[in-house]
Amino acid sequence: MSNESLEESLKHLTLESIRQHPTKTREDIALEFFELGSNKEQAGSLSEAIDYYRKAYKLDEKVDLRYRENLVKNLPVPEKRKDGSVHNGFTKLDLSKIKVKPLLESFHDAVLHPIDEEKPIWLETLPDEVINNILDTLICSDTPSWFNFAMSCKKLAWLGFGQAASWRRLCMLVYPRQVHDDSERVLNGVTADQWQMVRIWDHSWHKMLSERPFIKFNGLYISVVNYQREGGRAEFSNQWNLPFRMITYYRYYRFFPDGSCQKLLTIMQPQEVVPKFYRNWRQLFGTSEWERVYEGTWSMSIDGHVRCNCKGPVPMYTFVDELQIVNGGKYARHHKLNWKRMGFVNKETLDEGDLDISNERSFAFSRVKSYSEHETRDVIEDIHSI
Amino acid sequence: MTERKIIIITSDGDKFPVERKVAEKSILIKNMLKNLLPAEEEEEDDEDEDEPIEVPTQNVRSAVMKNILEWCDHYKDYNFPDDEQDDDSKKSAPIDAWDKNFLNVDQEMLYEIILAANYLNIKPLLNAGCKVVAEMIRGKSPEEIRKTFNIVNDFTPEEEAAIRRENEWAEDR
Repeated sequence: MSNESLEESLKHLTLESIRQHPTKTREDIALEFFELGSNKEQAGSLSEAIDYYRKAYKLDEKVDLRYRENLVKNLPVPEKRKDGSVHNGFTKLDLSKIKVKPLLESFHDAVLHPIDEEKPIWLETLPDEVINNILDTLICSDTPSWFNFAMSCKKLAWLGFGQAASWRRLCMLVYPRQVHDDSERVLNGVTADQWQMVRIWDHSWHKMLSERPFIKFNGLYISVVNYQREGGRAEFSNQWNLPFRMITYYRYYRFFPDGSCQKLLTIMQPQEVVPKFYRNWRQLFGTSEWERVYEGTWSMSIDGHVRCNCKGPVPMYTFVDELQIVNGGKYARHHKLNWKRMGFVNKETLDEGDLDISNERSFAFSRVKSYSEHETRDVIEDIHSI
Repeated sequence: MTERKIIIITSDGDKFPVERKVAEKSILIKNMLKNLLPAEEEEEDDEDEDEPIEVPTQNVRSAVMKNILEWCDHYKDYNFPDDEQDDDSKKSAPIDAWDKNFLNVDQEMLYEIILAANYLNIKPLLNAGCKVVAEMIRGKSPEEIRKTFNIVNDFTPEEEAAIRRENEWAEDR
């Protein structure tokens, strides 16, 4: 069941109606509340999550155990590996001794092995150069499918990840679409000629892609901010405790390779915003105060300092957001945008000012299927992919 | 001046008489003919003029060649843009509807056509074939891809997790 319909079916349940529910037991409904809570938690909406968790525990104090049991029970049958072993994904793996680069190189002479010995492996008949063509086609048209194809076995991992061609193609797709201002081109010698640029990274395309920051276009950047605020204690109330409310809001940023960008500050969750956060947002969003998208321009320096100038709620000012592209942990490269500065410029007097960013949180990138340039599928699909 | 006939001979000995511009969709054959017929304007008194030119193709069997020539014939009056520079927009464009229909054949034939296009150096057909295979991969998980292509998972769990961890970021761009 989708998140919304689950929420819809649970929202209006009273204790009475739970007791008399024709098909579901108390425990079933508790489980649904728990699931919804977990979905809300993942979307960053903590106060709603807590609310649903609490309801779940009220109905069944062992709901968390049941939730876990259910999760395990519904897992698909694990796949059999070449050596006949199966691996359920629960045991913790020790990856500390594995060096991926030499490992990929050791797959150089790997061959394809069949799951079913009786059936042919058609791919096996194709020479490496043709497999490389298929990998290249995937990178250009649907990069995640390139990754999944290369993850399927040793030989394809070598062809897809171990050789320079994939990384070169990715660099060629990524860097010419980045937007640098003129001073960057003059001072730091940033050029669109990637064969020139790759020299800075020891002629390694993989190294360039790993280390040279870039803005991603096939998705949007989301910042989730949770903070506590004093709740409504009535005036003259002598209630001794001060109720608190958890407030969640979101900032969204989407960038385009032509140097334009758009942003939104809202309480609307990603699944509501994603299907509307297109260039023609005017036709898709309503007119409430939480649906005010502001447009602007962006550019970046070679070391990943991004500057966005956008319109804002006050027409006389241009609002300036300065962000730094950073890795999310050790492995998710160029995944986050950290706040550097938030400010404004008076368009007439050119007076500048700073806004407080101490409560702000970093943006994290989230891929959206239909945001990729050549994607022709329905917009509806990506509500489920986020 | 009449054009000399070209006869393509397949690996199993079948003979296909074809127009020169159909045969020249294959860059391999085009280059071969260039060597066989060096001068554009042939001498009038050339005795061999009526003799057809036979082009042997060792790697392509008759059933596959029939398909290949159908493709070449369909595009005989179409000039494909120079494929020298390797253009990402061409790679990411959806497969041409006629090609898609043309390549709607059984698995064995599909892979034989791709192989033949590679051997005969017919780039647009090769790329179309690769797009068809790419379509079979699109949107699938690694496990689903293995099932589709009958490939067993030969990683250890540790290898698989480590490779995933270090490369997964690159799928977002």
